[in-house]
Amino acid sequence: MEYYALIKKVDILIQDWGDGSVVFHGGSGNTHFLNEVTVKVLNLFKDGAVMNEADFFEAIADELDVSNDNDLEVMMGSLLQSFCHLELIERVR
Amino acid sequence: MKQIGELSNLEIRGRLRGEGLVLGAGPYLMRIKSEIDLIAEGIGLLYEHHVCYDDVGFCDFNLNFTVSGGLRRWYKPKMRFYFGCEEPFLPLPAHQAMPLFEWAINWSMANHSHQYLVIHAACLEKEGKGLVMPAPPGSGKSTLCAGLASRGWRLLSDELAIIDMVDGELVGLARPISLKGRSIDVIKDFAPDSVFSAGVMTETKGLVAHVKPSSESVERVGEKVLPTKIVFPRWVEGVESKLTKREKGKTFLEIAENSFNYSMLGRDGFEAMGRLIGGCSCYDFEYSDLADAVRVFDGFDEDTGFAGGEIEVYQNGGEL
Repeated sequence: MEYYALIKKVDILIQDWGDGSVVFHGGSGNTHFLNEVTVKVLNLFKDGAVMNEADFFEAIADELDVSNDNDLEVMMGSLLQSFCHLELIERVR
Repeated sequence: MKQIGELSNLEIRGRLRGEGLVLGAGPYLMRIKSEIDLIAEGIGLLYEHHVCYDDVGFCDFNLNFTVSGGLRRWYKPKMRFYFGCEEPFLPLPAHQAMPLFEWAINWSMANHSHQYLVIHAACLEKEGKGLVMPAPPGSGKSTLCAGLASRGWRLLSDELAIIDMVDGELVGLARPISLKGRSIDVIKDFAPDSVFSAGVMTETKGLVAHVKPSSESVERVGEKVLPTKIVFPRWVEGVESKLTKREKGKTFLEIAENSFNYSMLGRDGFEAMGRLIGGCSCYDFEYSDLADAVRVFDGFDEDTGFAGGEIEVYQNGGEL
């Protein structure tokens, strides 16, 4: 089973104005816009949390107050992969 | 140190053809050399209130404008611009000397000012509050900028918002405002006392003319100001003037895309841009009538504050 965590040894800077956030990747220098939902995904990892997909789906369902069903898994699984691609989070273990 | 207006055209020409005319524009000193009379005349007209210096060692930019050699000197002469030894633009017909002169200064400042965050935007000041207007070409930004500048707003810049990375304040340049096409006549009607350079037909931008900045804008060019509003203007035929609030996160990215050096500045740029967005209220603005647009800008004011927008740093530095 794959686990995910915030990318190591890179500062990820976030500014949140309530109507969307911008994220700066200290390694690549790239800036990204995150809407109110996607920033919650990143927030789940901010305190050094390490989660497998099942834990993550449960946590995000709880955070968004929605049911943890197949639709959520498809949507959030895709988001997780996008975050990996942007090197905001990475696969560990 | 003298004002350009204290020099005769002959003296301006002499300095340009000799050791160079050292012209001050905001925090910059530019040593300008040129054998082109249109540039001497343009500087005399549009930079009348700017200062020039007799003897300085270091200049920020060394700009040299020449006419192509050989047959081209006489047959359909072309003008060339050199930034030091670099020639960043293709030669242009010599009658386009003044537009090229202004574009060359814009290019020099935009590409060699990484001590500042530089954004493609007009900026003005009124009652100690700075207004930033980023917008793509053709949006009516410069028309609105010239309209506001003719009604008591202090011009900081028509093209480049120069932002101090330390205190987040806007740095003034008070250089001429570049107008294109129909907007030239709009401003001639709206502000008949404005001083214009002669209109010049260019291949890329059509008819171009420049408006001289007010003496007050030039004299107060050293007064920096904190930006409090970011407005994206758009001229739309027949619409009522309308301000609409923008999301700050999306505004951040759009301004970053309109910045000349945001990506180069890395974390410092992110922090400076964050301070700018955090300190400003952000709007889209549609207008068709310039007088009404100016009325809206004179009337609107609101608390901006720094609500939200604190930077959080997420780190995962340890071993897992």
